[in-house]
Amino acid sequence: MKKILALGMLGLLVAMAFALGTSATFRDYRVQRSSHIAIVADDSELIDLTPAQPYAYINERGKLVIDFSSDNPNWPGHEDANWTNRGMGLSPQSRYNFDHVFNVSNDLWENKTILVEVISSDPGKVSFYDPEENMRITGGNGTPYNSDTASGDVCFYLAPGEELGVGMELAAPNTLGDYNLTITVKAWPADDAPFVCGGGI
Amino acid sequence: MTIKLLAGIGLFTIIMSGLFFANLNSEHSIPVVYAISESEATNGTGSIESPVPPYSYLQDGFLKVDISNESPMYPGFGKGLGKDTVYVFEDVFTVKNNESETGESVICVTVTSNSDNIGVFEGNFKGSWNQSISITLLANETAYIGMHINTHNLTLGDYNTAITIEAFGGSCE
Repeated sequence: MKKILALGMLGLLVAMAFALGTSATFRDYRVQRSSHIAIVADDSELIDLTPAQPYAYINERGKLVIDFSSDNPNWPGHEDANWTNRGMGLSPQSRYNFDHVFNVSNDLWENKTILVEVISSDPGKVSFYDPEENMRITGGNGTPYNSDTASGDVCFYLAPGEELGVGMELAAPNTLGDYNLTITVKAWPADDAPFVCGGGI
Repeated sequence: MTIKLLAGIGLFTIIMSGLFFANLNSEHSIPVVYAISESEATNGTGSIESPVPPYSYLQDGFLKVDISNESPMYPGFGKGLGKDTVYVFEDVFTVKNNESETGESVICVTVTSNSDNIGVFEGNFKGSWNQSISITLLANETAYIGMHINTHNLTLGDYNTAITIEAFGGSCE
């Protein structure tokens, strides 16, 4: 009986030692701090990708999709039954160009100009241009401003709040079918970027 | 009789605490003692970590990283991060060995992200990051902590995770 009591006391004393520790000088420090991150759709994130034409849209998963087929929810045939079989895609062996298919904008919070690079996974099928001539070919001095000058790897600068409409040149292959490719968008603070856009090699 | 007993407890307590700290010091074991109380952190003194706005700020005196439209720093655009993207933010917050508070000329600070999607690194991003990093800080030295956030495999929504910051006297190795 006495022994149990003594053990109980010991437990209490250890607890008190802990409490004393908090008022002692620095020994050990351990804190948990919280972080909260919202994953949002491409058209409302820090570096916005916004559809600027019916060919581009934000899908239910929040991703920008550019779709030149009847799978596109904006395809008029979904609304109008008479539209069926018309304008379901691109013709083989033809070239199309669309100004301002999607916009890239600088919505970062810290008021910094950014360098943006846009890369096509298949430059033979999709390349980029800007009729306003604010784009450069990455690693060169060329200005892709129309169908003939379009490039599969382009760059441009965006001041805070600024946006640029990316035009797309599409070269359809000579066989029918669906073709999927990926557009990669990269961005850096302009003053800390790995290359200078329009600065040659 | 009662008075005597209390005095006895007091004496014993002091001995115990002395032993306890000696142990921690020599073994660098997992820290259990909160050397700096929450109240000290609240009034702006005693914290090792400090925010570097806009992607972090002090919420009720505590560092909070917030990249959403709920942050008081939210400027009205850029509501968060996109999917399937890798973001690298340099200088999200700092850790500092404030010698007048730590009483140590050298401390080791460990910053650990509790989320697989968030890695941490020190200083300018050079291509590598880790779930946990340890930094040795001399007296009054400050290190800038950056975050590598990979949103692949995440769906739309809010993600709340924790960052653990630990420190003890002496260098990391």
